[in-house]
Amino acid sequence: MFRFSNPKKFQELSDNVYPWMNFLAFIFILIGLYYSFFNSPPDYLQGETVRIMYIHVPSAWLSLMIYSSMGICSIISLIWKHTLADIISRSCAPIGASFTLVTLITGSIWGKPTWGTWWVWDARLTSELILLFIYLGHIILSNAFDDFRKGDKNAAILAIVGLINLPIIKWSVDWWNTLHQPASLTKFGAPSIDSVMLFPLIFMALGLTFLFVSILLDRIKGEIYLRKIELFKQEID
Amino acid sequence: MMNLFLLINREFKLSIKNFKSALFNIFFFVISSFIFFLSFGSEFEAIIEFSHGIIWSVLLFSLIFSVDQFYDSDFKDGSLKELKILGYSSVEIIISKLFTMWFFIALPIIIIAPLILYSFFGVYPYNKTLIISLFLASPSLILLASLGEILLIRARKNKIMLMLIIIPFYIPILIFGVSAVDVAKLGFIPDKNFIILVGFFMITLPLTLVFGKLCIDQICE
Repeated sequence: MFRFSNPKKFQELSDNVYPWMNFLAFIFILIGLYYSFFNSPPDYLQGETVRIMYIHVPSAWLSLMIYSSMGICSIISLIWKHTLADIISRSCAPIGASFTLVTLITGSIWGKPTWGTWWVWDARLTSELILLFIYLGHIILSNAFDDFRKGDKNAAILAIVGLINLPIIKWSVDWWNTLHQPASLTKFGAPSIDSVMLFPLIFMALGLTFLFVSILLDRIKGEIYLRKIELFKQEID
Repeated sequence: MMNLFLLINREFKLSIKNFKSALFNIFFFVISSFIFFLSFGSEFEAIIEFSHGIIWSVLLFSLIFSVDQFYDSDFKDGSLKELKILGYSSVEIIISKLFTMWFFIALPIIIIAPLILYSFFGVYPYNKTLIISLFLASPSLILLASLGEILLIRARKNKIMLMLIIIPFYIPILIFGVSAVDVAKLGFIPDKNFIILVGFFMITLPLTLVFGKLCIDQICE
């Protein structure tokens, strides 16, 4: 498992994977966008606005997935003190924050025609907003120190404390009476979404995941170089 | 246990010596809640409708703005490290500070809040619910604020940074605390809200102790 935890080995691996990720992201998002705009039917109730779903739902999934990977990396970095885990969780945070912001903005654009309001203080919406704030707090805390190692450790603690929010977001629609609809894909038994709409949704989700991985690999590369420069500066001083 | 008692004794002596800062905190609370109430003008209906929310939000800000005196001065003059060398464990240090914080920051506000409400419209009808909800929620608010303070102890910090890190974790407590009074307005007993507030304390206490110990051990290496 830790064979690739050496930054140099990881760099070699990521250099090989990076172009493939870009290629896959491009292809999947292209197919997903084509199907979601031109080859899927409008909803019988919501009409054409249902197409917002193909960007709203995948980015919401990603915002949760990125935070949980940040939490896992933080646990690894606190227990085994791997530098790479710190680097990954630091590079994840801005990407996750942007996906959360996309989720909130598209959700409020979708909410105006369907619910009649841009924003309600609803359990799902509020917990997603808290997730955005936690991402921003993580970014601020990891950059608040002169020595980046201290920033990494304290930001890891913040990320672990914030993990409590994930199950609240996931089950908020079941625990409270909310305006937001409950999960329609991960129910027991068959999903309550038709395969015509499910197909572009899956494609967009995979495409955005590959996009996330490719941006992440790019950011990790930059972060490793930054740390090398930082260590070099400390040696000179 | 003896260690804990000695540490609490030390913290109390320090806080009584710095009693000015506790007074400033109370003054901040009174002034800012008066400003909030003034901004409503003479619409007493609206004030009665929103007063518990105002008290709650001003309480959050005054807690955040006053926690830093406890860890910061001890870290700067080196007495945090010295206490560790003398053999006090980090958990004992944190617990003694928490207790003192609650006694000198949160308790005066809980006592003063009904008086402020009284000065505006006589006896506030939901005083009991408001005081119980503040009483149950303030320990977990103090715990979270001190965890943020410990995390930021060596940073190039300002108070806005502490606020940005802590506020997301305050939001759930704020929601359940404020809605306790809303439930009481509908004529029900808000015991479920009180149980949830106690539950927040049960979660934040181990979190703060475990991670605060981790950070303080790292600071004192």
